[in-house]
Amino acid sequence: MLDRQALRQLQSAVGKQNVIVDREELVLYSYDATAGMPAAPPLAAVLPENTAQVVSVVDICRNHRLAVFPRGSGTNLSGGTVPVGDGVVLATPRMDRILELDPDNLAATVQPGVVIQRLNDAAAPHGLLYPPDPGTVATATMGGSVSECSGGLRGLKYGVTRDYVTGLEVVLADGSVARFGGKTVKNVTAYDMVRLFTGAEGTLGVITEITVRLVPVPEDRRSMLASFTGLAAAGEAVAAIIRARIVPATMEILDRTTVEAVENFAHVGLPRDAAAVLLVEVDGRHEVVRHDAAVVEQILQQCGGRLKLAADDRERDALWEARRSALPALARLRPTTVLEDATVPRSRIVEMLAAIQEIAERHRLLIGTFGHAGDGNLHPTILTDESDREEMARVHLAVEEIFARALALGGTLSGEHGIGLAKKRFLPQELGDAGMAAVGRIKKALDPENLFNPGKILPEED
Amino acid sequence: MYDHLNNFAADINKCMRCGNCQAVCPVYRVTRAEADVARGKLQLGRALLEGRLAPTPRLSALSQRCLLCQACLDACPSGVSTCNDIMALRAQAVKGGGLTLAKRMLLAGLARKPLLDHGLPVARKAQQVAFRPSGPGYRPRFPLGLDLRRIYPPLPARSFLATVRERVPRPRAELRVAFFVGCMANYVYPGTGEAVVKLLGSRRADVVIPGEQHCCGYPVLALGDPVTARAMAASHVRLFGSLGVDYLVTACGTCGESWRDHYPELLRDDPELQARALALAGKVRDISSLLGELPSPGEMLPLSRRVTYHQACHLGRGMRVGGAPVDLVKAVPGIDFVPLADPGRCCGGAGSFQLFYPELSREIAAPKLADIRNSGAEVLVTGCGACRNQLEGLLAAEDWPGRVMHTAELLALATP
Repeated sequence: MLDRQALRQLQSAVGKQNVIVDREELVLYSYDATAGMPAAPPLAAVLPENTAQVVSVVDICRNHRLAVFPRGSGTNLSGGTVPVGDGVVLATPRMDRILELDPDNLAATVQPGVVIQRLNDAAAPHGLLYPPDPGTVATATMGGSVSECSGGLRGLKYGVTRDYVTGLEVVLADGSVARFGGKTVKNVTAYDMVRLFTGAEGTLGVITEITVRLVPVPEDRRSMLASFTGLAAAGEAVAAIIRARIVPATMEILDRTTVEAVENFAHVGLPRDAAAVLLVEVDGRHEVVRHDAAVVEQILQQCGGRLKLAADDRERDALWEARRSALPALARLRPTTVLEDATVPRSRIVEMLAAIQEIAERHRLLIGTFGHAGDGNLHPTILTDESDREEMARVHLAVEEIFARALALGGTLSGEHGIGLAKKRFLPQELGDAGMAAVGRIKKALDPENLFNPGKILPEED
Repeated sequence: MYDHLNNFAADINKCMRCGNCQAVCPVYRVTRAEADVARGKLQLGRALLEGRLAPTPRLSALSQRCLLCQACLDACPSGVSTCNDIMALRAQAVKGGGLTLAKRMLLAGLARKPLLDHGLPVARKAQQVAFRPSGPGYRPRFPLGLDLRRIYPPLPARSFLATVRERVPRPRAELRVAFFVGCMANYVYPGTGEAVVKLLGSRRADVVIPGEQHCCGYPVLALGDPVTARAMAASHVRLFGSLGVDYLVTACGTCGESWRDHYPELLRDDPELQARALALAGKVRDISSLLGELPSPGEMLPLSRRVTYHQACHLGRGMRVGGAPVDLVKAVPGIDFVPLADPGRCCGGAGSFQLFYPELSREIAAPKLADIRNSGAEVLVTGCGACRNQLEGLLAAEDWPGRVMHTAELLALATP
């Protein structure tokens, strides 16, 4: 139960209508999009409307020794917003103003509750684009997306969230408000605090304002889909495209299980005997797109790919339907979907895909893999049933092996979902003792009382 | 079926909590509260099923805040039957948490036809006393629990069913059609009923309009009373099952869905009756889609109006009637059709939702009203009496000079 005094203080800080304490509604702030997480409701959920209110909430929570669990739309895949222990969920959806769109500086400043797509809708009339495009672009908030440093389909050419965040306003554990960075392209003033808070998963402070860099919308784009009868051939095509010094905006891969599921679900005309499908899109100036597309087509064919091209936007949409359907098609196969994001160097992608298939067979699991071949970020998607304990035990084993394999190939635990609660037990494998200690010291320095999102990334304190 | 949440457990558990429904939910777009979006509702259901929550009044109240607009149904990657799950959640929550007095009164009225039939003249008198004339309708003089800023349509002296014959035969008829009128066309907009009969006649159809028909039962089901809804379904299936008609026509997407989807489901426990319901389900057509299927009656009268179309949720997403109404309107000589930017966006009316949540309903409607104003149309047509009621009321309160009517009424004007 929330202390009555704390409740009164929260209510007077953010208004009664922005404080949730009834049991029924609190259940709804106990989860995010991650499967298999604990689901303990917080003591309260507050939905502040401005930075001053966030400061008050942080102060009240610190004084009452309540943890603060920052939350956007609750669409992350790392258990990053699931409350652990006594605390208050601080959700930002009601801080949703676009504060400034500055086309001359190719910059925008937003509150954390702005949904990514809304920023893009606002930038579009200026011919500008905010490139990070996670699958949740229409639902995820900027605050959540920055905190998880989300990626998306365009990572190969455009990078990820951290490549676009240039300035932040953050409420720190002592209730002070710090501003780091700004609109300038260049900024080497002191440590790169903007990057530290980007991807910190809400463990170091609460982001209350975000300045991002925008880029011109590409003049033209062209999509190509190729199916391969062998995984190795698809991998060779990816390598050959990069060797030809073409950097496509996207280079997506679907494995056999995914292709079959997509075809059964969306009937987009993929060959059912394909071992892999590649979807490549090049963008830029007309001339460049024409040139790059021709080179890519040639390489895809040389590597044995059967081509499908898109002549216009309608056909492009049809090709993309295959990729867009990947997760929905897989998700419908079984009740529970465990979506991972193990990532390897681009050149090891075929080895990783083969390893995942081997792990699936050995543990008698259904795993469909799709993902961003261009940047090595794969999404092994385990289709299972949370209520089947025996099968879930095998799922956990498979996940462990997938991570071990990704690390052995020189990769990482998480390309774009974050560590959160779901992957923290694997963290020492990647960071080692020295790395873990360094991360722990940063946390301790900025949040000595472990106020923000305790239990995430790092082991819980004794 | 709908009276046991357990029957929906497998479907509810399909929700992988991705949150994609947030992007399309009209309520969530306004409130940004998890309880208001499908994911939240489904998780309430799951918590109830798993015993983490009890059916309290608060849970009941939370479960009611949904338009059942089906936008999430289309957006759900896992194919969860969100709206059915939410109706079952309501039924379960109502068992322990009850309904507000106003909702119970509405339920009682809809379930008992004589109450509404005898209530209409009383309500009309009451409207003339408690409301003052304003523009095309009436504005409440006192709060009455209603929205003072909004304009309500004048109630007719007699219901449509009280004025129409049970059989409207046509010489040299080529088909036989039953007309299921629905509450809005019966009690509020009898002109819609008259238009449907005229249009069907112009297509050489004998029209059968059983006088004993009443509310389709959907509002009752949606408020969480599947037992009463089942009784209403059974009486309608018996009433319409023996008519030997080629089609069963509705002038409301929700009524159509009741016949097509909910009656067979509600009557699952009675295989004989369910079989009759399924046979009727195959004959259900919205008036606009049947007109689209039948040969055109020939020469139409010209109407020089600039017209736009609002796609009702249960007609567009529910009955999958998308292009037919627009094609019919465009075929009228002289009509300048201007599409809305987002015709399928919910108007926030959602049957009784606008009565119980007037402020929220108005906020949900705001982008729709702007869309209509920006279209430059003089006439807004829609295939749903409840949407019409909502949009007419809100647009009139903003002094929008245009007219709102049922698609069938516009088409009837152009039919000699």
